[in-house]
Amino acid sequence: MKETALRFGSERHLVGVLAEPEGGAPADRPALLLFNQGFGQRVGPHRINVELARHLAACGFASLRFDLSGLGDSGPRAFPPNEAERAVADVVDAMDLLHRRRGIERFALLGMCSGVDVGHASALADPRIVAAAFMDGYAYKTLGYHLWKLGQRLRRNSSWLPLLRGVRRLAARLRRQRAASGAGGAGGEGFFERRYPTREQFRDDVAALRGRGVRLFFIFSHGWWYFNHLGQFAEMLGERRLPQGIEVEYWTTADHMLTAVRERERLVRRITQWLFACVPARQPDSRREDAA
Amino acid sequence: MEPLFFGEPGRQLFGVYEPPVARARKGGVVLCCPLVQECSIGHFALRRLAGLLAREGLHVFRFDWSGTGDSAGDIEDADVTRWCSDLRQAVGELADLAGVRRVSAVGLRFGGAIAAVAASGGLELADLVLWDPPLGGRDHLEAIRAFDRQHRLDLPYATTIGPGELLGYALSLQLRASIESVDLAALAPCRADRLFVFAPERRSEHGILGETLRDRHGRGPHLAFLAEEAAWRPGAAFVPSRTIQAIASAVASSAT
Repeated sequence: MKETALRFGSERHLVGVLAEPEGGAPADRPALLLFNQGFGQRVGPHRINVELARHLAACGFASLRFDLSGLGDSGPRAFPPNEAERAVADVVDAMDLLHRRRGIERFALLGMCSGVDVGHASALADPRIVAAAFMDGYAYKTLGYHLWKLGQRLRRNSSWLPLLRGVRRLAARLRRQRAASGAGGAGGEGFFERRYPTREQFRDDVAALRGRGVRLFFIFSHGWWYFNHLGQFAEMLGERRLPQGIEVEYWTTADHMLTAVRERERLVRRITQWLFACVPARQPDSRREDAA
Repeated sequence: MEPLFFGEPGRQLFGVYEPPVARARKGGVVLCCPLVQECSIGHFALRRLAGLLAREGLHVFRFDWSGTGDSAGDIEDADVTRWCSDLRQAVGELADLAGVRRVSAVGLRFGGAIAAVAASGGLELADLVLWDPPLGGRDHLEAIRAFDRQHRLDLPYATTIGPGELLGYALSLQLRASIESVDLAALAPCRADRLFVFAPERRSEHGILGETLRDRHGRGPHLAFLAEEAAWRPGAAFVPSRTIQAIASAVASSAT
């Protein structure tokens, strides 16, 4: 495994670390892009991105962990003026760099927390992204979410009174949701604003990504308030079952920051398995070439 | 600004070199980051300080300790002796990169404590600035434990955090013992021309540091208290701009 510190980007404002196997990664393997969550640095919460990058390099995958414009060690970027577009431009710069330096043409990314916004927008914007994973990504409170929550309360309380209160609250909430149809799941408060896509927009985006053959992996932690059971994701998409090409996991023992070492090891393991699954099966011809 | 890896093969450290923006002075400054959760939340303050020092005409070098950030290794395998060696390598790297002989060190929180141990152990420095330092490793570890207890209480479910972990970091018994062994009040004189202690408020430990810490001339530290909130203090999310400015001015004043 070797690591190289890089300064790159259209304005040479970005700082990152390329991790790769000693002899370079096989050409058919996508390189993983890792970046910031909120105001954190490229190393990720509790250094998870470093652990993941080094494990992947040992397994034959290249990765680039880098700071988006204005975060961590990276400098600001003047253009484009919109913050969300700047972040996507940074991801494009990262892919251009790996293509120039290593000839890599296929990419995967992992968006965590608010890094989900960057990952989601980038996956939609650039066809070189063939796989995208999201830790505590977009989630929308469905009817199933509310019923699940109610059920949990019932299990905790033997009285019917909380159930009645819960049903009233649920009815009021659904009325509010209908009145504000189009509003997203979670937004920001104060100076750190996040623009959540509407549920309808999210469905369309997922459909567009699936249409392009992008493999999607969504992991939700128990600490993410907008998701509370595995079946919620299909319901969010208006489906009975999870469509092909999408994997969803709900980690009931993990918190949003993956504080426990065990949960971080689990993330490293699962992302590695998922990336291996993203490597296209070899054509018979290429196998013959290898044998030759 | 140039990111790079340096140090021994297989144990490489990550650093960022910032050349002077203004007319270059003869000195360089190595910035020492804090540990565990404070490393992440103190990053922006150190980056701001690096920018100010570069504008003062100084060569600046930031780096990650072994087992932290982008540097090689895992934190459970590190200890204070290893980190002191890291600092010596960082000072040497900056001297080579910039061609400077006079190098100062600014250490934030426990990063300052490590720098003081290294300077007390023979590392030659121009200035040594301890920025909001704990009195010693025992205090620091206790503060981390208290933070960890609160964090576990805040989690909405039965925790899966392992018994050897603090705030999500696997701090081995060896590392904890190593951290606890640091006592700034019991150090031999530091091999630095001048010592500074910057803190947001005067506490009893600063009186002790004033009486016990000594530079190479046998003088105590310059103590400066600037009441400002700082990101690494509980409940605050601010960069202490006045303190950063004051540290930059203090270090630049000796590098003319």
